[in-house]
Amino acid sequence: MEVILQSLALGLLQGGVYALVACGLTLIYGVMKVVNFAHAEFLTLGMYLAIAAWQLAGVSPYVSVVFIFALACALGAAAQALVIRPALKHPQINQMLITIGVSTMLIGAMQLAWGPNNRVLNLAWSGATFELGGVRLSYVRAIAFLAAVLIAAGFWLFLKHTRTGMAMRAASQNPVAARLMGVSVQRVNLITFGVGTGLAGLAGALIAPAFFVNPTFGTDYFILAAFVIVVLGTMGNFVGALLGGLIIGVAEGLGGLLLGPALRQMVSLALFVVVLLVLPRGLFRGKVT
Amino acid sequence: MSQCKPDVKRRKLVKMTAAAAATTVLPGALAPAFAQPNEIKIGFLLPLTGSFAEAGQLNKQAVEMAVDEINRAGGVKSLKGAKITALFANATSVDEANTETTRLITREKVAGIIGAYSSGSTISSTVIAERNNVPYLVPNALADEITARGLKYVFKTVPHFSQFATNAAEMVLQLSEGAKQELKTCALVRENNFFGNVVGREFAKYMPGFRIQILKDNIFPTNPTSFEDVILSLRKDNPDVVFAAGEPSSITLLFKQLSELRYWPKLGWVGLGGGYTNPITWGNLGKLAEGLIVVNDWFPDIKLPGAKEANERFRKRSGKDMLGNSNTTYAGVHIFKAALEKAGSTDGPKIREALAGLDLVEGPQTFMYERVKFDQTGFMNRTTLVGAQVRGGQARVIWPSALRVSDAAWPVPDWARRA
Repeated sequence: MEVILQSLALGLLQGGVYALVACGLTLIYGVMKVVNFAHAEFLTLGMYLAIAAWQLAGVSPYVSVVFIFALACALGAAAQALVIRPALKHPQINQMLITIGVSTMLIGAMQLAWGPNNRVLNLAWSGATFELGGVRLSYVRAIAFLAAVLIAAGFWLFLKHTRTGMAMRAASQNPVAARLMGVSVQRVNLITFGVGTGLAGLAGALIAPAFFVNPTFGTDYFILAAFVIVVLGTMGNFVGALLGGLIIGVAEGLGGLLLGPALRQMVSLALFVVVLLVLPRGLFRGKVT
Repeated sequence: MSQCKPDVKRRKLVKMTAAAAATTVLPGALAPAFAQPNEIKIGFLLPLTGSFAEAGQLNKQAVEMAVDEINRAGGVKSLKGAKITALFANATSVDEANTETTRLITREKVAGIIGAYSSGSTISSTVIAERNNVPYLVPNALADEITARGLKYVFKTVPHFSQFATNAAEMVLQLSEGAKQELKTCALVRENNFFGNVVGREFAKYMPGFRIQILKDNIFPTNPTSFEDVILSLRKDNPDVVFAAGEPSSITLLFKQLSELRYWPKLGWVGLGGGYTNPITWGNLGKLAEGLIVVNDWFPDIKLPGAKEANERFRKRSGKDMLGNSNTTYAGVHIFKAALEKAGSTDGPKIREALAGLDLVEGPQTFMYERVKFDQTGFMNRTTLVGAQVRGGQARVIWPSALRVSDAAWPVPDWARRA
């Protein structure tokens, strides 16, 4: 029983990490209906930048995360303006292919810059832990979990109550009507894509101390889970992404413990299939807020 | 020319010889200046592209280092100083290995073949060499069955796959006996890939013979995002020792989480082959790797003459340590050269006889093999895997005791008792 409890707690934290990675993906899909396959690479880039900031300037990832977020925002906005905007009027498959192209270019650039081998961010407190009700938890994962909760709640409020948030929702529901009401859809898209990739960079910086990084890290380790979570929690819904992340995290943790780690993903993906059979548009039945 | 006076001809001849000598950098080339072009072709099958390209390219550099050394020292003396020419062939798949073996034998007329890194390619291409009476030396593919099929022309210098189980068990039992600790149980933590599955199979087969009970075989998928389930189940099973196999990435994450969850087996953690013996892994793990015991065919820090020097020469060439079978491949070239020297011929059956009767205790290969002698099956059955303990980011050999450079810390201190 104690092991189950511990596994549950660890699964929740791991779910927080997943949710953090999935936040930006759900934002971009929810508003722009663009499936961003380059999302994982912005995560990887965030990790590399956090490691570089620490190794070159001794800046902790919890400080550099602000700059990394800003830089990833700028890069994402530039990518949106240069290559994605021209394709928005065309079939969705074109946009997907373009984001795959961006992903390939980013992987190549990161390999050129940092080489193919693993790099790690070994801070003195990388492995530091605390005890909560007899369960040992790592600070790095707890912070990532907290960030995921704050971001999900913050964006939910932002989309619901601010003018920009409302403009985003309007642009997502009906771009033509939004434009007629005076919303600059182009500007909304630029902000959305920028913030979405910025969140990926932020997630990268926050999880860097708990993992290692190589140029295909994001694609190899997180992109499948992130897509599953986004669909599970209803595409575009932040609270859904958080909930989806927690469900997948706990399912993997308990599944791995009870059936063996090799079958861990079978448990989480079977759960995913069942949820979609009952609720084809995700946990929130297609509602974004 | 035939009308020229004899003394003029002689003078011209002297000049020509001098010119030939001047243009030749290698002193050994002086002798055969007038002889037929004198070279011995050896075919090397390696995965030079594809997913094993990194290892294949390192093995290629090891071959080049050995061939350079042999040729610079005067080639094969019993064959009038004939030089060795290495012909590299790409073998990324079984089919490719077979085609290239046939080509090397029928078109290039090689005196022998050395390769082929992957066990599957080796098992299949050795049969072709056998049919053509061409000796085939295997210094880098580990499958037991390579020499278990009664082939007469196949010689294997690397330990068998099964030795990862048998040698590792001997090691932990001897270490535990020395430390007056009881060792009865183990758990496996292995990746669901080719090598991981080999480890699972061999341990299941051999551990009962050593009276070590496998409490649980933890198989994790490639690219795991968490090891918490593995670690929690290890804590529940509480094995005396953990045997593990994996890639550098998964090992890095695994050890980060082992330290987070403060789990360490009662006696120690033994990493087998591949990812665990990659210096990049130790570097990335930093302090977390301290005390980890790793098992492979050789480490530069071993009590054998010339080991460190051979590793340094290789580092100068490639920038990497001579691990991942570049060491065994390098030694393999020297062993084959010794057989050529003994045979005094490039005739397949004669080289085969020479290899079968080889008994070497001197030569460049002593940096990792104290004695080279093949058994009836063509296997160098004296070879053993060695165990090393990581200290300060370097692996120092601790087992077998004859080759150890330092004593093992056993039981390996757990997280709380480390600095």
